[in-house]
Amino acid sequence: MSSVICMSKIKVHFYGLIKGDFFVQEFEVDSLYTLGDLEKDIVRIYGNDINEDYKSNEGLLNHKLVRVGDVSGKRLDDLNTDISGLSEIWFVVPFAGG
Amino acid sequence: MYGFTGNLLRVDLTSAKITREKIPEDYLRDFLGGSGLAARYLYNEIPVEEDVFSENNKLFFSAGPLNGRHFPTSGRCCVACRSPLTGIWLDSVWSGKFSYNLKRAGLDAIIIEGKSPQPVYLYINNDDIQLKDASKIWGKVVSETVLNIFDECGHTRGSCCAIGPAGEKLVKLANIMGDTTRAAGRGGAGALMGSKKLKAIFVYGDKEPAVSDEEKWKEVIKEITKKINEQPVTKSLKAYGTGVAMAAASQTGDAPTKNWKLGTWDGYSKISGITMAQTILRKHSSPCHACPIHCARYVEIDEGPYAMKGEGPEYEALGSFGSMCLNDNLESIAYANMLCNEYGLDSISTGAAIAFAMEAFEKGIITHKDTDGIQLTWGNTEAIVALVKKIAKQEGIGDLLGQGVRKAAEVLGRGSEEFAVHVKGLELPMHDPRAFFGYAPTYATSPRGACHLHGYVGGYDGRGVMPEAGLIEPQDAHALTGKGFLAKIVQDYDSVVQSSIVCYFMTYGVGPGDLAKALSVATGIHYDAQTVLKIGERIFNLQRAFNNRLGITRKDDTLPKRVLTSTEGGPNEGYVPNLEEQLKEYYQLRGWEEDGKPSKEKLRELGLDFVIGDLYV
Repeated sequence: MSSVICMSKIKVHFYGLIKGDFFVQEFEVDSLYTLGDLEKDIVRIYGNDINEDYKSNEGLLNHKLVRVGDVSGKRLDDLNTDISGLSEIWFVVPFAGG
Repeated sequence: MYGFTGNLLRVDLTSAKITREKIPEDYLRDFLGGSGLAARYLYNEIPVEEDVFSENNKLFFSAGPLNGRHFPTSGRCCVACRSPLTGIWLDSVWSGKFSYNLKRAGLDAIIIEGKSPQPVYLYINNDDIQLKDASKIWGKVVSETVLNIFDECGHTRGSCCAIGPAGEKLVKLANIMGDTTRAAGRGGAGALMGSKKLKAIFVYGDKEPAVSDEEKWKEVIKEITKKINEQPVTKSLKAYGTGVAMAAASQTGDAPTKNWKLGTWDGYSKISGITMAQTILRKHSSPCHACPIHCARYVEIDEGPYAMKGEGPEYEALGSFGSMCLNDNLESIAYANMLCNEYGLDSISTGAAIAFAMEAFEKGIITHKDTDGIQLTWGNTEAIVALVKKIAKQEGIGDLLGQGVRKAAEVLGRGSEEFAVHVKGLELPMHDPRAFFGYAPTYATSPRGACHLHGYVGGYDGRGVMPEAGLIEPQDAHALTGKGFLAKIVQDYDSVVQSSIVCYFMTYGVGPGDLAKALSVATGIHYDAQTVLKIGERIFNLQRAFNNRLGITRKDDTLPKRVLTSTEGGPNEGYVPNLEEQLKEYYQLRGWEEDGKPSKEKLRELGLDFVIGDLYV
C-alpha cells in the first residue's frame, strides 16, 4: 500500500510578531496539519527573532499576547485545530496606534 | 528644587499685565507638572458657574520635571482648561519642542486669563516676555502663522503653538497646534484660545534646567532609551507609524467602521501604515524632540485633487476619515488630515462628526438641501473634504457639526441621538470597546470624556502587564472581570505620564518603577512605583472633583448605545462589554460614592482635603 500525501499552501500573515515586522509568508503544509504544528514550525524558523514574551512555556506562541485568527478574524486558540484547509492564517500582536 | 524651575508666568490678556509667580513646592512635589499641576491650579481658579467662553476660563500651559533635558520622549507639553466642547475638564498633550524651550526660558507653566481686545501673540525669549500684535496673522492657517512669527522675531530656533482659522471662529472642535503639525487635540482648547484673541505663543529659552544628579541623569536616559528600543512595538512604529495598527484591524476589530456599526470592512489594508509606506510615504518626518521611536510620517502626493506635502495621517485620522466613513482612499485621508492641521481642527472629532452626518444623510434625517448639495454618501471622498472645510469655516451644516455630535443630535433629533457616539460630549477615539473591553470603563470615566489616553489601555489590554500595580498576567481582551481594575491602574499611571511629561508609547517598555527612578533623579525627591501611582491617583481624583463640581455624576459615566450593541460581523460580533459590572468594580477600587464623587476618606487619603467642602455641603 502506498499513502498519498496531500500538500496545500497556507498564507501566514505576521503582524508585529517577528522583529516587530509585518509580512506574509506562504507555508506548504500536509493534510492534518494543526495550529500547534504551524506554531512549532514558526518557532523553529523564526525563534530567535520572536520576543520571549510572545512564546509560551511549551515553546509555542503565547496566545495571551499573540492573537491567532482566520481570514474572517475568527480567533483560533485550540492548538489541535486542523488548519490544512485554511487559505490564510494571521498572527497578530495587537497594539493601539495613535 | 531640581527638575522644576519653580516659576509660573501669569498673563492677563484683559489688562496686558504679565507677572511671574513662584509655584508652591508642594504643588510640584505632589502633582508634578503637566496635567497634574494644571489640575491643582485650575481647580481653584476656574469658576464653575460661568460660560466656557467667559474671560474667567483659563488656559494652562505646562511642562513637567522630565522636560527640557533630552529625556526620551519628553518632547511633550500640556494645555488644560474647561473644555468649550464638553463643558468639563480638558487637558491635552502635544509633541514638539515647546516644553523644552519653556523650561529653558525658566518657566514650568503659563496661565492665560482674561481676553485681549485685539489679536495678540505671546512672545517669550528667555526673560524678554511681551504681548505682540497679531492682527497681520489673524485669519492665517497654522503653518503660515508659525512661519510668520519666526520671521518677524528673527528666530531660527524656538517653538510655537498656534491656532488656525477654526480656533479664531470658536469652532468647538478646534485644536491648538504645536510647531505646525502636532496637535493638542480633543475638546476645543483652540476655540478658547480664539475667544481670548490669542493667536499663538512663541517660546525660546537657552538656560539648562538643573537635575539633582548629572551622572545618574545620563545613566537613566541611557537605560530608558534601551528599554524603549528593545520593545518590538518600537520597531513597528518606526517602520510604519501608528497607522500600522490599521493593518491588523480585520483581526482585532479595533478600528470603528461605518460610524461604529460594522465589525469588518475590506478597506483596512488600503489605508494602513504599511500601504502608506509603499505609496505616499517619502520619509520618516523629523521625529518628536528627544524621541527614539520616530513614528511620525512625511508624505507627498504629487498630483490629483489631493496633492499635498507634509505630515501624514496618524492612526486616529485613518480611522476617523477612513473606516468610520468607509473611505479607502488613502490620499483623501492624508488631504483631510492636512486640512485639519492647517485650520487647526481635531481630526478625531471632525471625522467622527462627518461619519455621524453620513449616517444622518443615509437615514434621511438630513438631505442634500441641508448640505448645500453635497451627497453625503459613505466613502464619498469629495464630500469628506468639503465638510472639513465647512466645519472649519462654520459654513452651512459645518456650523452645526463643528459643535460636536452631541449638540448636532440634539438639534437634528429624529433618532439621531442613537448614533451620536460620544461620552460627556467628546466623540470616541478610534478604538473599539467591543474589541478590547478595557476601553469601556476607561472611556466612561475619563475626565475629558471618551479618551484613549487618560488611561492608554491599548498598551495593556490583551497585551501588557504592570506588576507594580498588581497586573501580573496580561488580561484577555474580552475578559468579564478585571477591566475596572485595569482602567484604574492605567489611568493612574498615565496621569503621571501626562504630568512628567512623556509619551504614552514609552509605556510599552517603561513601567511606574522606571518612571519613578527618572523622576527621582530629575528632582532629587525620592519617588518609587507606589508613590508615583499614588500621585496619579491624586491627579485623577482632583480632575474628577473638578467635573463633579460641574455636575458630573455616576449617570454620566456611561457609553453610547451604539457601542453597547454588537458590531455587524467581524471578529467581535457578539461581544459587548459588561459596562455596569465593570463600573461596579471600578467604583469600588476608586473609593467613589454611588453618586460618582470620590469619598471623603479617599480625598483625605490623597491629600485632597481642600476639595471636601466643595463636594460635600
